[in-house]
Amino acid sequence: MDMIERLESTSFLGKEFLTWLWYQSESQSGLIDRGPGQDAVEVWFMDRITLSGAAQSSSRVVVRAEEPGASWEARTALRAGKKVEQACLRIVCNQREWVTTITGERLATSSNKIPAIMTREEDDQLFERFHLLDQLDEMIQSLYLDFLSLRLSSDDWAAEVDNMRAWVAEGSAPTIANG
Amino acid sequence: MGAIKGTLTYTKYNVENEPSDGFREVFVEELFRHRHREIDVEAGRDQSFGWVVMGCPWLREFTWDQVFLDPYVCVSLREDRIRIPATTLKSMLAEREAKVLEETGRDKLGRKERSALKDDVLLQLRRRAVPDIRVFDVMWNVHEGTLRLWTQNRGIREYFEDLVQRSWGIKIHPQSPYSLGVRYLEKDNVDEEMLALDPADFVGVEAL
Repeated sequence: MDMIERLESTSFLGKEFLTWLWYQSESQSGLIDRGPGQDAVEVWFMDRITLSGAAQSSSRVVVRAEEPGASWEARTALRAGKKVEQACLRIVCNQREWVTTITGERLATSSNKIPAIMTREEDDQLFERFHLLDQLDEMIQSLYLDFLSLRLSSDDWAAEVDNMRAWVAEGSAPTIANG
Repeated sequence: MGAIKGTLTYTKYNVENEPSDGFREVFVEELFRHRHREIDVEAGRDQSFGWVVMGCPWLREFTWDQVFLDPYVCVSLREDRIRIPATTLKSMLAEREAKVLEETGRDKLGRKERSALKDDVLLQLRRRAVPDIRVFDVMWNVHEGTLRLWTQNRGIREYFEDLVQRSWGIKIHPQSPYSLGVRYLEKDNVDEEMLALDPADFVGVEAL
């Protein structure tokens, strides 16, 4: 199997990740624990969410709203078996805030907004800007790896799927106690 | 659109291999070899691509100190393109055709003659045209082995991927659910396990 086939045959994991992240965000009131040694992050779905089915030809549902995840249209699409193709996220860590749009298929981010730059020198500002982007990528990567780790653990994943099915059916997630 | 200012939209790549020994000198030479050049309209071209200094798209001389902001290598890819509006070309060509026919007393031009006339009209228009300039910043974190290209445009991405792999001696792959898992998840056989997965069903009963 060549690299392109490998990328294509696993691209569904990106949509599953975003759907799982929506569930995690709702079930934990936005606050997601990333495990030992890593700061917890707040993840909020905002402004726009796109859901689609597995087939390329399946119709897309695009919801634009302040809290698109709470909308009837998005919940209905979820109950119809669609998954999150693209979402606009607000991510908060250590009181600093990033906004990004993630496309699941390639886990590509776009229209990123980073926290305010604190340094004054031009070179330092550039370095800080790059560093803030690295931080955003690192947070998304770490959340994805948490998801993937769970996804590859058959027993844990089966339990998570049961929880997610209940969330999908009920329309909102049961709150999970942190810690 | 870029790393220094503006919208932060980019394509992220994983760099699959370490740069070779003596990489710095080769890298700077390769930047210069593939530097941006003005469009060669006399050769029938309407587009040019090449490296420029980040933040100074008119500068095509490179030094390591200029492009390296530890741990980031920063350069920009500049594209110049001349776009001649179809209606302008059509109108100018019709005018030239009419003139030739009047001068020669003929009814119409042959296919080859018309094609040559079109090339000549295009050349005249391209000589007078001001190109559109687009600059795409590139930021390579050499410590982490990641690289960002400040666009998601497929054509630019393909040109960039080919140029970088040909001239910088590195292999790059766009970030993806697969590449992130294989590269960063500390688990045996991640590759095979990911490829063996089937899509999950989050509904559990027949979808509505």
